[in-house]
Amino acid sequence: MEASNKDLISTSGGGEQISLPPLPSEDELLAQIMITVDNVWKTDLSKRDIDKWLSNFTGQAFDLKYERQIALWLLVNFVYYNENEVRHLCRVLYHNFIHQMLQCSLLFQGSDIPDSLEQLENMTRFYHLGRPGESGTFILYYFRQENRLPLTSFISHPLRLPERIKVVAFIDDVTLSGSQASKYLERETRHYDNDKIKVLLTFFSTQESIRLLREDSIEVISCTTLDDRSRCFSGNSSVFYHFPEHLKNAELMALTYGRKLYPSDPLGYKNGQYFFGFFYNTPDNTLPIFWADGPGWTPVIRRYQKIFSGGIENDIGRFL
Amino acid sequence: MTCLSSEGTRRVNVQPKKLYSQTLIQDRYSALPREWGCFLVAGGSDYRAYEVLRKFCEHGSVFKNVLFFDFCERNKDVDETIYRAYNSYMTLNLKVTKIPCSITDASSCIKSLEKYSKEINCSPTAIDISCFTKPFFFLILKYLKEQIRLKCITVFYTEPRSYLFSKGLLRSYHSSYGALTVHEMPGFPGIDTRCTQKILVVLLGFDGELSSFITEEVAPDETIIVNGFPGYSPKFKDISLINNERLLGTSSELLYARADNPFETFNVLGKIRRSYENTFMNIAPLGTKPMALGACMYAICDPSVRVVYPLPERYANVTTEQCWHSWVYMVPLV
Amino acid sequence: MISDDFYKNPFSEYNANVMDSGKILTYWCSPFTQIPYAAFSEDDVYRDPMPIIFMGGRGTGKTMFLKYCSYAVQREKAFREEKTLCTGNLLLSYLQKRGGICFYIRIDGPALRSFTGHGVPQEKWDAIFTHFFELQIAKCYMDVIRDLVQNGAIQDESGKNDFLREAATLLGRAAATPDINAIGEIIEGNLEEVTAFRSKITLMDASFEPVKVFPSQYLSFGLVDIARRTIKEVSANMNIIFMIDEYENFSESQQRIVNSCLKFVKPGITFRLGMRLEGFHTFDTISDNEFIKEGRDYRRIVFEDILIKDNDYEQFLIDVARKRLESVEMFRNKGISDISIILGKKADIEKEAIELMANRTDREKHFDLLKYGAAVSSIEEIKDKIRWPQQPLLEMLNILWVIRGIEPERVGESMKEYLEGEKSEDAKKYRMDYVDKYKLSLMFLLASAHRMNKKYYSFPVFSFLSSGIVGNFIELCRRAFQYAFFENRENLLEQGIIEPELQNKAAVDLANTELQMIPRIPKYGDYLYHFANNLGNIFREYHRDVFIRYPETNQFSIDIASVSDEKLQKAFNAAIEWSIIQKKATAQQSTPGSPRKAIYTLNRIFSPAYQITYRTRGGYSEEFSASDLSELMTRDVGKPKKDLGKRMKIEDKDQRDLPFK
Repeated sequence: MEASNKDLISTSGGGEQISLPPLPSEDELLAQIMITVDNVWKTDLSKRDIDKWLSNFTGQAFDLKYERQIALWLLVNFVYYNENEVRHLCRVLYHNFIHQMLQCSLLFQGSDIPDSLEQLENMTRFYHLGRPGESGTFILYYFRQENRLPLTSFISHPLRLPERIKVVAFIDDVTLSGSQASKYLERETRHYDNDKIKVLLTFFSTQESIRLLREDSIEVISCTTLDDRSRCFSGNSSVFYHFPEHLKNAELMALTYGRKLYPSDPLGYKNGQYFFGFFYNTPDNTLPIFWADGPGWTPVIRRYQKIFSGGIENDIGRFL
Repeated sequence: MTCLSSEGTRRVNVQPKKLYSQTLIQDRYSALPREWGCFLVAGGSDYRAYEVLRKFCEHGSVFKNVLFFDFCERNKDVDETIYRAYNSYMTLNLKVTKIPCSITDASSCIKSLEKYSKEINCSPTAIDISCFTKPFFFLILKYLKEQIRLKCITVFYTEPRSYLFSKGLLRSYHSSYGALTVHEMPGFPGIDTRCTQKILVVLLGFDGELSSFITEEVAPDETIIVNGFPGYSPKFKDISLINNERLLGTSSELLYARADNPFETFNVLGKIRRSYENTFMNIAPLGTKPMALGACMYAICDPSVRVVYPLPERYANVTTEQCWHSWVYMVPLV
Repeated sequence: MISDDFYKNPFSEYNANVMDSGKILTYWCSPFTQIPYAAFSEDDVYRDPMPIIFMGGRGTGKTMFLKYCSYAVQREKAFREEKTLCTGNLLLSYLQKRGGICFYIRIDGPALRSFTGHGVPQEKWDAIFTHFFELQIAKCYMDVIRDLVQNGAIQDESGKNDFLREAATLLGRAAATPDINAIGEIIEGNLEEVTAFRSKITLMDASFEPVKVFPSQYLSFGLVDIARRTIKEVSANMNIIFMIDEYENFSESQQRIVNSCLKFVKPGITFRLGMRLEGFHTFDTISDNEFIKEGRDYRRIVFEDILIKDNDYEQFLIDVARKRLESVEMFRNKGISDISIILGKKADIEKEAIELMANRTDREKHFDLLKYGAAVSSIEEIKDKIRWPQQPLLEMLNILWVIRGIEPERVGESMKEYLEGEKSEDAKKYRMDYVDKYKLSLMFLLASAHRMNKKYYSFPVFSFLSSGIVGNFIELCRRAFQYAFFENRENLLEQGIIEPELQNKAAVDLANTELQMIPRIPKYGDYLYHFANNLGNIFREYHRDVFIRYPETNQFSIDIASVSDEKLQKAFNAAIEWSIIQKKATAQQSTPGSPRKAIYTLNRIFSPAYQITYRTRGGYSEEFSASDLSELMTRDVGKPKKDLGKRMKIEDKDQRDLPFK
C-alpha cells in the first residue's frame, strides 16, 4: 500500500478521512537523538550515520517524509545499553540471584545471612548459556568482575559439575521466547541429578520464557521481565502510547522493509518487535530495520550475526 | 544497625543483616494480611491513589482504621472529573478518618497526628505512598519511627502505566508548574558540622528543571547522580538522563539503582556515604517514589544526611496514566 | 570510537560552585585586568575598608570571583607561585602583601529558609538565626586559623594559646589548656544544637535553649579582636574580610541582621557580599532608625557594567574559552583554541542573505512589500528598476526607499552609484543607510518576508547574546559544540570550525530553554514569563515593521518608582535580579529630545526566540507606565506603543502618505 498524502490521514470505519496528530518534526527528533547519544549511549553515532540509515527508506510504504519521521521516532525510542549499564545489570542480576536463593528456606535453614552467603557461594557454579563465543560468554566476564566472584565459582563445562554443587546458574543477556534456552539447557543438563537446582540468569526475560523454562524445572531470574509494552507494535506498546494513530502505519513500514531484509522474521526473531540493543551487540529479536546490514541497507545500530562456519577470509584482504 | 563513629556522626553498618522484603502483588492480595489495623492513604485524583485499597476490598480484606490525608489543594478542584476521582474512595465504604492537611505544610499535619495516636497504634500498620508527596511521607515515616516507635511498616506503591509527555517528546515532562523554591525536607536538616565539603546526591527524575534549581541552590562541591535503572519501563532510564543533561555535565559520578527497589537505593546511598566520609551529604529524591522511600529509610538511619526538595507553586493535576504493577515492601524503621 | 579521554566538550562544566580551588585557578581570568580604566581592581577586595557588594546576574562570575579571592584559593595560588615548597612564612607574607584574608561563607537557600514557620514566632527565629550566623562566621574563621597554624604561618605559640583561652571564654566554655580542635568542637556542638532544634520542631513543639546565645557581632568581631590582640602574625594591617555569597537568598529579617554588621564594621574587619542585582530585600538594620546606604556604608560593583565593554569583554571571553579548549587534549594538540575563529570573527549578513535566497522557489517574495508604498499595477515596473539579485539586502533597501516615497529610478541610480564607489549625495546617503543604519534590520525583514528565521552565529553575536553573563556564553558554546560534534565533527575536529547553521541551533535552543525556566523563578515566575514574552513579542513587531521606522528596537523605559503596586515592583526587581531584563548603566533618553530615564533591555539571550536584534542601537525605547506594567506582567498583550500600521494599497499616487523619517 502506498500513500501520498495518506501518510497523515487514516480512514475511519465510515470512510471519512481523519488527520493524524503529527509526530514530532524531523528536527525535534534529531535533537532528541543527539542528546540521547551524547548523554546516554556515549557512542559516536553522528547525524551522517543517521542520514545514511534514513536513506534506506525510499517511500515504499508511505510518503518519504513520513517514513523518515516514523524511522526517527523508532530510533528515538530505541533503548541502548552502554557498557556501564551492562555492568550494572550484571550486579543487579547477581543480587537478584542471591536474594531469591537466600529466601529459599530449604537450603539455608537456621543460618544467618553471612553464613548463608558463604554456603551459597560454595554450592553454586556459574556458566554461560549457549556456545563459547556467544553473548553469554561475553557477559560472564563482566558478571565475574562486577560481582567480584572467584574464578572457582565458574565451571569450564556444564557436564563437569562437582558432586557437592547444588546450584548451577547459566548466564545470558536475553531470553525472550525461551525456546533456544530450553533446547540448550535440556541438552546440557539432562544428566544432572534431580537435586540440582538449575537457574537461568538473564538480563531480560518474558513471562512466556519463564513459564516455558519452569516446565523444564529451570528457574529464571532476570533483571527485568519484559511485557507487552516493550513490543513495538503491540496494543500496549510504550512507543506509540502517545501516538496510537501511527502504530499501524509504523508496523506496515517495518514489515515492508523487514520482509526484504529478514524475510523469515521481518519484525525480529519470533516476531519479537523489540527495540533494544547492547553496546556489544543487538539481539535479532529487535526490529531488523535497525540492524540489518547488507547490500542496499545501512544499519544504524550494529549487529554481529552468528556465523556457523567460515567467513573471515573474505574480510582479511590479499595478504595474510 | 547503626554505630557512632569517632567523629560522633552516625554511620550505617554495612554488613548485610536482613533479606529485604519486596513483592510484586499482582493477584496475590489474598496472600497478604486480611486485616489491617491502620492504613494511611493520601487523597488524590490519580487512579493509583486507591488502587491498593480497591484491590484489598475486592478480596474481602478488613481495615479497622483508614487515615485519609485530605489535601485542601486537591479536594477543591473545580474540574468535575478530578473531583469525582478524588472522592472515589467513598465508594469503598471504609471507616475513614479524614485528616485535613495542606501539601505545602507537612509539619503542621504531622503534629496533628497526635490526636489519632490510638488509630495509628493499631497494628499492623500500612501506608500507600502512591499519592503522597515526598515531603509528606518522609515526615510520616519519621514520625512513626520517633514518636510511635514503630519498628516496621508495610508500604504499598503502585506504578503508573505511563507518564504523560506533551507532544510525545521525552523532554516535555513537567510534574509541576510555577515558581519553585528549594527547601530542606522538614525533619531532615542533616548535620553539616565537621564537614569540609558538601556533596549532593540526586536521585534522577524526569523533570530536569528541578535538578537544575536544586543544584544551583545547594551549590555542592560534588554531585553524584543515581539513575533509576532498571526502570519501570526500559526507556525510562534514558528519559531521566536526557532531561537532566546539564546536571550530567557537572556531576562526578553516575550510579544506578533499581527504580522499584527502595532497598537498593538505601544500599547505594550507604556506599556513597562510605566513599565520601566527612562530607555533608545532601539527597534530592527526585526519582521514583520507591527510590525516595529508600532515601527516606537511609535518612532516618543516618541523621547527618540532609534531604532537599523543590516545592512548586502548583503540582500538575495529571502526570501519569492508569496503573501498572503494585508492590508491597516491608520497611524497617530502625 | 572516540573515547571520553580523547574528545570532551570543552564547555561541559562551568559552574564555579562545583570547581575546587585548583580548577578555579586553572580557569581563572580576571575580568578586571582587561579593562584599563576600571573603577575597581582586585586589590580593592583586600584593602578597601568599606564593605563592597558585588552584584551581577546569574553566571556573571560573582561566585568564581569571590572564591578566587578566598583564603583557600589564594593559599593554593601562593603555593603555585612559589617555585619551592611554600612555607608558612611565605604564605603569611603572601597574604600580607595582598592586604587581607578573605573568608568565604555561603549559607544555602534551603538552610536559610528553614528559619521560619513551624509555629515559632519570627522574632524567635531571628534570634536563633543571629546565633547561627555568628557561629557560621566563627567556624569559618577558626578553620582558617587552624590551617594557618598547620601550615606554620602562625608560630607564636604563647599568642596562640592566649587566643584559644580567650576564644573559649568568649564561647562560654572556660578551659585550662584548650587546643584549636577543642574550640572547633565547641562551635560545631553549638551549631548542631541549632540543627537539632530545626529537626525536632517539625515533629513536635520544642524550645531552643542553648548554653549561651551569641548576639550579632559577638563572635564575628569578637574573635577577630582577640586574635589581633594575642597572635602577632594576625597583624592590624591585614584586613579580615568576610565574604558572604548569594546574599539574595537571605530573607528580609536575615538581611537586616547582616546589614547591621555592614553598618557597624570595625577597623580591620569588613565584608564583601555577592548577590544578584536587586538582591537587597531591605536596607534596614536591626536598629529601627538605621539603614545602609550606598556610598556611605558600602560600595557597589556591578559585574555587567564592568564587563560589557565591547572588545574588552570579548577578549575576556576569548581568554575564558582558550583555557577550556586547551584543557581538552584533542583541541590542544591541534592548536584549536581561539573561540573567535571557531565561531567566526564576524557574521557575514550579506552571505547569509544570499544563502537564504538560494533555495527559495519564490525568489522575489520580498518584493511583495512594495504594495505598502506603491500601486499594485506598477510593482513589476518598479522591480525592474530596483532588482539586484546578486545581493538581496540591497534589494531590501531599495524596497524600503521606494515605500518611503523615493522614486524608483532614483533608488536604482543611488544603488548603482554606491556600487560604483561614487561620492554623490545619494550614494553617500545610500551607503549610510545600508552599511551603518539598516543592514541588520533589512536582514530580519528579508527573513520575515520569506517566512524564514534570521540566524544567530559568530563570536561577536554570541558575546552579544550572552549579555555580559559568562555562564550564558559558555552554555552557548557547549551547545554549539554538541551540535557540531553530532552533525559535522570533521569540520569541528579537523578545521576547527562550527557552521553558522549549527551555532544558530544552539542559540535558539538556549533561548527557548531559558524562556521555559522563567516560570519556575521563585515567587514571581508567572509574572516574569508574561513580562518577557510580551516584551519579546513587542520588539518582534518593531523588527517586522516594513518601514523600519524604529530599527532594532529592543529597549524600554519605565519609572518604577511610579508603580504603586508593591507586588509589581517586587516582580520588576525580580526580573532584574534574575537578569530577565537588564538595566543600562546610565540613564538615557528614551527618544531624542526626551528627558533621561532608566532604560532596560530584554536579556539578549532571548533574542533568537523572538527574532530580534542581539545588539543595542539606542534610538527609540518603548515607554511603559504603571498600568502597562500590570498588563505586561499578567496578560498576553504584546502590542507596540507606536502605530506600525501598514498603509493601504492604493492606485492614486496623490493620496499616498509621505513616509516620515
